[in-house]
Amino acid sequence: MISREFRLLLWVLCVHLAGIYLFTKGFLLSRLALPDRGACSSDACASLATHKRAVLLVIDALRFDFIAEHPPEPASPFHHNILTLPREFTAAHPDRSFIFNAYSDPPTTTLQRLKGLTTGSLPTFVDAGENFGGSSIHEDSIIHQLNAAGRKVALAGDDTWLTLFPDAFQPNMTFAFDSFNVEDLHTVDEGVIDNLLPLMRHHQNSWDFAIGHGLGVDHAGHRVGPDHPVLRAKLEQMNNLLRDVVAAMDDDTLLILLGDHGMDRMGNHGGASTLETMSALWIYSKIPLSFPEYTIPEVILPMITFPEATVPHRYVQQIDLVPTISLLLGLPIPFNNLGSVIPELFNRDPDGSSLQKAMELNAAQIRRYLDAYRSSSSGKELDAAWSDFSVAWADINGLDGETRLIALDNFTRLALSACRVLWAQFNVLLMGAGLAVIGLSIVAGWALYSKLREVGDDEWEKWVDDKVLWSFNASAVGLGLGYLTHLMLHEYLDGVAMHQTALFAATLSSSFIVVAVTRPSITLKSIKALPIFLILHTSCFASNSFTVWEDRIVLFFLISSIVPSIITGFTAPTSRLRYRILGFSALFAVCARFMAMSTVCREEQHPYCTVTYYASESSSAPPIIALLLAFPISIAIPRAVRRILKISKSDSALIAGAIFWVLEWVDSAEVLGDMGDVLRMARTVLARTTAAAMLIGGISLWWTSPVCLAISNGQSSQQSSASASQEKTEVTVLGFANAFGSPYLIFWLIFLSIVWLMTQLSGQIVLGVRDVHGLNEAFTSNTPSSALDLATVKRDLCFSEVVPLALLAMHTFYGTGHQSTIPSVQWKSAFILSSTVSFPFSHVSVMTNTLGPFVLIALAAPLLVLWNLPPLPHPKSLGASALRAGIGMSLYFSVLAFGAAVFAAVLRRHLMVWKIFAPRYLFAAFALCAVDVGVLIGVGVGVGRVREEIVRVFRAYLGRNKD
Amino acid sequence: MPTRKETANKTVVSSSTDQPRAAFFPYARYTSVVGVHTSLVAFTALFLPQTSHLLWPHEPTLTDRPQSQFLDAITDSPVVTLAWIAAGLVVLQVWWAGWIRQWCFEYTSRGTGDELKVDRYRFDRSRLSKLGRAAVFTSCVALVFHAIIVLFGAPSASHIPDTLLLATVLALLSAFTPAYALGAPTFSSETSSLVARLTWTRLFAELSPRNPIERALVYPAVGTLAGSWLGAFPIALDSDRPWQAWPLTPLFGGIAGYIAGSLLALVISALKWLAEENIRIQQSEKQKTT
Repeated sequence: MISREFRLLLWVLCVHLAGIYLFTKGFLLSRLALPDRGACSSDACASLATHKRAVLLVIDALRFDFIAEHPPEPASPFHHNILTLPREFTAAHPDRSFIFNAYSDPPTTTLQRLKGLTTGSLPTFVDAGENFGGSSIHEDSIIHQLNAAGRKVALAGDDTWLTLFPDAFQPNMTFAFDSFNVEDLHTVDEGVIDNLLPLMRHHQNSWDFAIGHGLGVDHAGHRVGPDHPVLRAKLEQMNNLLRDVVAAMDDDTLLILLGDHGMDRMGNHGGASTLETMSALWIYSKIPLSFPEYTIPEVILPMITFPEATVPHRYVQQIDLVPTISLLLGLPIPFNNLGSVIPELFNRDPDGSSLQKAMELNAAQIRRYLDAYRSSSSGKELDAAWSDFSVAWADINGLDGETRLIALDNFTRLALSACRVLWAQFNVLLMGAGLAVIGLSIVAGWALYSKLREVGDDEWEKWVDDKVLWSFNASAVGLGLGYLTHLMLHEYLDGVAMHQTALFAATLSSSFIVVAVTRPSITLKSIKALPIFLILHTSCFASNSFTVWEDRIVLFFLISSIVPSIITGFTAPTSRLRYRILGFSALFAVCARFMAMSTVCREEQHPYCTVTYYASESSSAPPIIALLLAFPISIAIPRAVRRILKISKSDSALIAGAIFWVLEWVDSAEVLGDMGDVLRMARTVLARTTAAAMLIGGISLWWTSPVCLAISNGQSSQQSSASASQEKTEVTVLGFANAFGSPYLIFWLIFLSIVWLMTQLSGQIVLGVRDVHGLNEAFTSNTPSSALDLATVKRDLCFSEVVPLALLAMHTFYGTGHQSTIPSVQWKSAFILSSTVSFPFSHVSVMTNTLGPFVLIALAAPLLVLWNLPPLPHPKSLGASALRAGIGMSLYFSVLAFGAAVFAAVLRRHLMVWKIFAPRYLFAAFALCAVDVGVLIGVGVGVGRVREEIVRVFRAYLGRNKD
Repeated sequence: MPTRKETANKTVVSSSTDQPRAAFFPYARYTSVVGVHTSLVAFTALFLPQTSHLLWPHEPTLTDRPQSQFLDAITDSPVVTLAWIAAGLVVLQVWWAGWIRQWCFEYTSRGTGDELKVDRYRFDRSRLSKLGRAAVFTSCVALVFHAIIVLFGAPSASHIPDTLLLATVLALLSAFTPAYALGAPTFSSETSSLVARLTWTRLFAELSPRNPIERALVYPAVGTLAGSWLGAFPIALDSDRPWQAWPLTPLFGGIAGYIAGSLLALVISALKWLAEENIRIQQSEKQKTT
């Protein structure tokens, strides 16, 4: 069962995983959360209080322009000038109603924003991954302060609040609703309306802080994009809700309306683009808050212009809410806060003394925090900025009046900006360790790859066993060594845990041993075979613009990489071969170009990019042409495969996949009105049946009888060979030449149909285009050498044949509507197998959707050597060649991941690191894992099984023949 | 400088080919024509587009990134720039290809004086028809290049005149001269067209030119295509300059590659010739002494 290929590839996978783990641990930011709680010495905080109660109404993804008085020109009929209540009030009562454009720190995902909004701190990038799981907040926050002061907190809406503050809310006033069912636009909003309004109307005195969090706007954005009547309806509903909330408020209540983040043109969020970070903020009170007798210096009231708007608007940080609300409610400012009070809300006396007091409290709290952080274990981070802090702090003293306000503001803003830069708390040791492991694994992989070619047909099995044994022994020794090293050196290994040292030593030593026992030789030939495209592709990651445009560059390289085979085609000896190679190459190129027509754009690519994967820039529905083409293609693929193989079992699965996404489209377009639930059911059932049938049915059927599936090859060759032996004449045997390729292709199709199900309609067409022509043809066209000498059994695989395949994997990834950015992940696919987010199904389907292209192409790598390989005389080196194809594929992606990691590490202080380099590294790391797994399944399981069965069949036949 | 041993080897190789050993090739004239030609190509690329500013008065546009007026003339309208360059290259390439064809004739023609005269008469008379064929062939190559450029990722629906003109320029630089000098390859089954096909395959697929004329054909052609391939790289940079507009960088990359290829062909041919001359002199001296 566990073949030697499987063991060797498993070792490769483990080494890669260890390298990625070590690097990621060191690279992704972590911030030290201090456990201290904020406190006020005397009644200093309470003296500034104006309200007893507050209502915090969060409308998820409420972008600033949705409530702006001067929206961008031209205004959209679907989301501008609809939610107008805030600006009506601001126009009528400028002393009671305040609209701000609030900067929400990236990552702009709800969980991180809620953390920031309540603690006043800066959540880090690594938290973004926890959005599905959530984790409670232990730092000081407004909610903790409210609880400590004995005030009661009520909640209606998004249940993310419960994951953050599991026991902070009054049990009888907690109405939480599931947050991740993106297709459900109304449940959470109606939950807020039905529960928040009664609380406000009838139980005014039973709560002190009420949170309402509606998700309809966000879900509408994700589902249909901002330019859709659905969003208009949602915003109108929110406007009515606001009207009711304001009507139910009394004089002691403060209303805060905000969007936790914005949304991009597609309605998605998560990144750091302008549209995602500009969120709306509206503060309203029934009693006047601001008295215009004192003029606040304009320096501390920054303005910003929303993209394409004409009038600049007041600009604050979203975390400024934390000290502001705290002081308005008479609470201490949370200890970790880095926000500054919003000056307008404390402008009460003619001399500005309240404002000055608020700002002094704020600055003192930030100073306390910085001091505490500096004396903590990771206080060294602040060293560089400390002198600036001290100077800014010293500046405050001795000043008075306006200049003092400016100095206070200067200090708090300096602290924020310095911390924003500093919380890139990289662990350089771990990063170096990870890079060393990945780097050495590349050398080891190359050594295995190049040596496997030289090992003889008969010895290779023993040779591989030998290497596997060495590597596992060495890692065991390394584990022990690492343990000892850690015991001796742990004081020098800052921030490195025991298991990390052991892991590092184990993987490093095993890679090293493999290189040592393989003893690769660097010859002129190996230097001449240097994969130029791999080097160019990897060096793209050194530049942000090349990384941004990688989708086009991959197409460019992909087409360039088949130029050598075209040139070979011109020099081919016979005209049939010439036309064949040229024709297949041309077909391959045309298919690749067609695939490139399907794109989604990253934000940086504007304005040179148009979205074609979806129906429009601001929608996530498939274009009409995709709807029309999906069925023909899903029928055509099995046909085409059948024409090649004369057998297939997967047509029904492909059609089911297309039906699923058409149903999804029907549902979201609301063509059939109230049929929603029935459709949803039908979709889920369909998807589960298909997936289960393909996974269990397909694989088990294939496993038990690959020869049964390959029956046309096996039997026909048997029959005709049998008749041949009787008649003593030569007969051309059908399917004989490709006895290995075809059963493996069937095996591959099972996985194709699963990925197919997970891919949206446009992606299906891309996959289809690639499959119908591209791939099969790629094997033929990219192996002109094999086409030239079909007779020779030993096939030499060159790396230049692997390169187009690897590029094709990248190209398919981009063609199926992905980009190397977090917001472009197709979260929609989480709801394929289930209607709500449920642990294994949603995660698996999103992973399959995103990484499917890599797994598929990695699975296809063995076809490079299996295609058109006759089973007799038995090719002994078949396993070795397939293994080489697998290792070659994995090599390409490990070099990519290594390059992305190196450049992300080198450029870790780059302005764009979290927007471009870090996501690219993450995708490269995931792609490497996916390719390794694909190769493992393909070479370790698929090829082994096919080989076994074919050997069995032909041995039986040969045995019978001898009798 | 090549060592004596290498040159000796090369002489052996070259003498084994079917070319007459001491075939006449006018190196002096070749050098001067290449010099003039490459200078004129560079002039066409850089200064011919400036005429638009002379003909139509230029109103300076206010952009974020100001650049010199010289560059403005090139970047204002890529199509106009391309049209100027294509027009200039038509003239230049016809002139240059005429020289190459002439040398080709002189290099290969042999026989008695009368035969030579007949050949020359035929050669002169077929000039126009050959030119017409080469033009047709070049336009076909331009269309093929257009398709290939789109395959490489150029916009398929917009910028069609830009891409087509780029393809025309590349075809003029790479395909016109060989088509005029050697005769365009055809699909007919005559012996002459088979020979032409084989020559084209040898030159442009196997990339193995054997004499100075072939070098002067192959090197610039390869240089043009490689240059324009490399020229695609700066497009992705995010510096947002006007000169990054499609298809200026592949255009100028291609022209630069052409010039580099032409000069390289000259240098290599000259070096080989010098080496061969050297060996010939040594051998004749040896013969004298023995």
